[in-house]
Amino acid sequence: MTDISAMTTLLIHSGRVVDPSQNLDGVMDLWIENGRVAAIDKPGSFKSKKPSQTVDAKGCLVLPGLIDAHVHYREPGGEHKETIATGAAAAVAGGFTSVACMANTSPTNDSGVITEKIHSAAEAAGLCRVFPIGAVTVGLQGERLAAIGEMVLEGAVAISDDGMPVMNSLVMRRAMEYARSLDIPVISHAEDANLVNRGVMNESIASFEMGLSGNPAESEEIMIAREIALTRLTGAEVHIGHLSTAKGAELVARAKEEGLRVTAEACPHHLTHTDSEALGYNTHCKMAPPLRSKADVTALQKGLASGVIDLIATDHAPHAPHEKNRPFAAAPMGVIGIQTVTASTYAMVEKGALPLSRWVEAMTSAPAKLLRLDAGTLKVGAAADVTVFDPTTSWTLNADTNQSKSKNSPLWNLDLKGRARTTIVGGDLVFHDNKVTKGRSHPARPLIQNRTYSTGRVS
Amino acid sequence: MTFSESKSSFLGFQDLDQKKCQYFLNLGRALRWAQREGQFPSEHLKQHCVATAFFENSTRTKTAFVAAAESLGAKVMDFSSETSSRTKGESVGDTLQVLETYGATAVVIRHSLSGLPHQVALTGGLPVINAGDGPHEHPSQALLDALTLDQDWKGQFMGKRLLIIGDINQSRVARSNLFFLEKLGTEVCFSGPRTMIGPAIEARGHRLYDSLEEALPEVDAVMCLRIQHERQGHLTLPSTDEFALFWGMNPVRAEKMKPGAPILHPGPVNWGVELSHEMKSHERVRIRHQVWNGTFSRMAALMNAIEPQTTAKWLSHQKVPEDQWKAAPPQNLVNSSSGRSEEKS
Repeated sequence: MTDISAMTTLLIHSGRVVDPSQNLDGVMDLWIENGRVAAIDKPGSFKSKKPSQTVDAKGCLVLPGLIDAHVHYREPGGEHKETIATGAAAAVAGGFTSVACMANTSPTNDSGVITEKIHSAAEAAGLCRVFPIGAVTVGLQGERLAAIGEMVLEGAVAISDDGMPVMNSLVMRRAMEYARSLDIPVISHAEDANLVNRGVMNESIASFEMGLSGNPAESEEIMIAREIALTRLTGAEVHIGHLSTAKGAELVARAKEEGLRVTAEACPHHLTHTDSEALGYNTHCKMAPPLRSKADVTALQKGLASGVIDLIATDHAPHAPHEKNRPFAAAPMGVIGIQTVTASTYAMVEKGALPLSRWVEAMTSAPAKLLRLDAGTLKVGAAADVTVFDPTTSWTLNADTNQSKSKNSPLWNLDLKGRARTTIVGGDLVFHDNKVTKGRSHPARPLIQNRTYSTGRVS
Repeated sequence: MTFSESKSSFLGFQDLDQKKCQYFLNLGRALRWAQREGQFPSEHLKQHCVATAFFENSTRTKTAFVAAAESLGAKVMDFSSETSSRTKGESVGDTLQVLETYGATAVVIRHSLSGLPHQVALTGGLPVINAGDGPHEHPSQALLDALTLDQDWKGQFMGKRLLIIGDINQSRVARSNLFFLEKLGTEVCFSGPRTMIGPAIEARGHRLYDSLEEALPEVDAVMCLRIQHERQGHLTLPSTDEFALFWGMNPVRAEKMKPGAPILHPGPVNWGVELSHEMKSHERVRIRHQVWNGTFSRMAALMNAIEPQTTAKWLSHQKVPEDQWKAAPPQNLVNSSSGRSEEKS
């Protein structure tokens, strides 16, 4: 049945292959057949073969396709900010072959129907794989459990009320217990909403001077402490979203030492910017949790390097220009970042603050492990999701390069160094030299590690 | 003296030792056998008046206790909470005193609060039979479940494994079964959402299967508990549909069970939740056998609580055969398509 003339092959040659999942780091050639990694070998090994396509990766890093475990695609309900298609375009332009999108859409992704809708839209876009994260509670109201099992059956990989914390500790306990029964992690937006007190930036001397209400670091610390206590009680897996404080990182470190199932992510903006960036009321520096102090940034960088912080995720949060162009206190929280994260975080590698393999791991095998995906690896047989990253190229995020529908980036028009040159999903070149090319449908569900239930439901 | 030993009340299996649990099993077996073939003690409780004091609703338990008391020759005095002076605020203790004054010589109590029958047994004057105290115990249910398992397990409990599925945290059926069967050497394990099965279960040393699929081939019987979804306010489950999807018994899951392993349910069943509608006539399901065995378990409870010495004497005179487990319920009680192979012998 296989049409041999349709068999596609791809050769990626002369690049430095860095794959922490296999302890691989060296200049190698990669041979891809029918959307899967067929072989990796010494440069020149595939000289005799005639590939349908070739990618010259000289001077570049060849990585397992990058995975962003935390994005906000605004579909359904917020399509003026971003659609799944435009969000996926931004993702592949950033070198990402897989993303996990949060549930705070409108309507909320709290049911199997919306989860399925997201899969359909992503498959129609023909770009990166999109893994929906389902809500913890119905409508993110924090009161009743969402249809978590139904969403898992439709291919949700985790649950989170991100955007909001789950304030009621009994509700969070029950969510963790239920998530553990279904073997999915709970991702926590760790803030005590009452203590945040409508704070729009980090509570500090700067917030005082600017006359803006402050969100103290303690609002995060308290909630992380609670999540850790609850995971101790329930044995569930909790992942701390957008960790932003030194104290928070300390708590995570101690929880890991205790052997608890706690993981954490950090966002590029929290790893590189302090709250002083917001001086001047720049709403492109307004997000939740807010940019914090120098000490926090240093602690986060250390935590990422040591592995206390498992992964880098962007919390890519598009908002339309007319929305961000409001008084600081009134503007919505969030910044986009999926196209610029590799540049801004690679700087830590260059400085020697972050080992290269940790940097790669943080966007490949670590998110794959969290979300239980057969991804983030270039092992033979793996889906051919590959990122070719050029660490030296200079570029800027502007109207010419930006794929997102929104522009709310703190790095807009600034000089950046390092960029994904080619992004390959399922063997298809979906991004190359600043051009996004729609490929075949790249479903996410086949990469979710298998769990079977004889539900008795006709499938 | 523990609660259970006060007078000769039948309060639960938590504090009873292996010997006493075995005694109750033997007593139930003897009554089951005696009803058909032996000398049934139909006048054993002739001098007595059994009061049923149900402060919580019941169909099967109450009816079975009334039938059991009458079949043993006792008079029955019924008390119905909703139409009593309980509605005027009269206490349980005062209520029971009234019943005693009017001739009750034993009282069967069901109440929503754990430990109430135990407290009454210590302070009151009558032997107390516990027909269910909150989430704590329902010992006559555990005994009838054991009498039912007895039949598929051919009299063997040691080394067998029972899987209990569902709302364990709230279940007196789960607790009494656990306390009773573990003393007989049966391993009890559990499955269900962890919102309904707290950390104490694993801390106590029992296996908890998150995946029902994984558990089914490894156990010798399955017991499905009723999901009391309304009580939990949508925190333990997104919906009863989801329970059915992941932990409900259906024919596909039943296929995965060991040959000969039965499915029990204490009733009433939420069809489509714990058991799919197709299970209504499934040959593994033993619901009607459970109901039938319920008469013997209630007789055993009453006899031992009210006349402990004469009951022990009666039991010692019964020549119950080794294959007593073959006793089959009357045909009119059992759906002919769900009969077991033993019934043909």
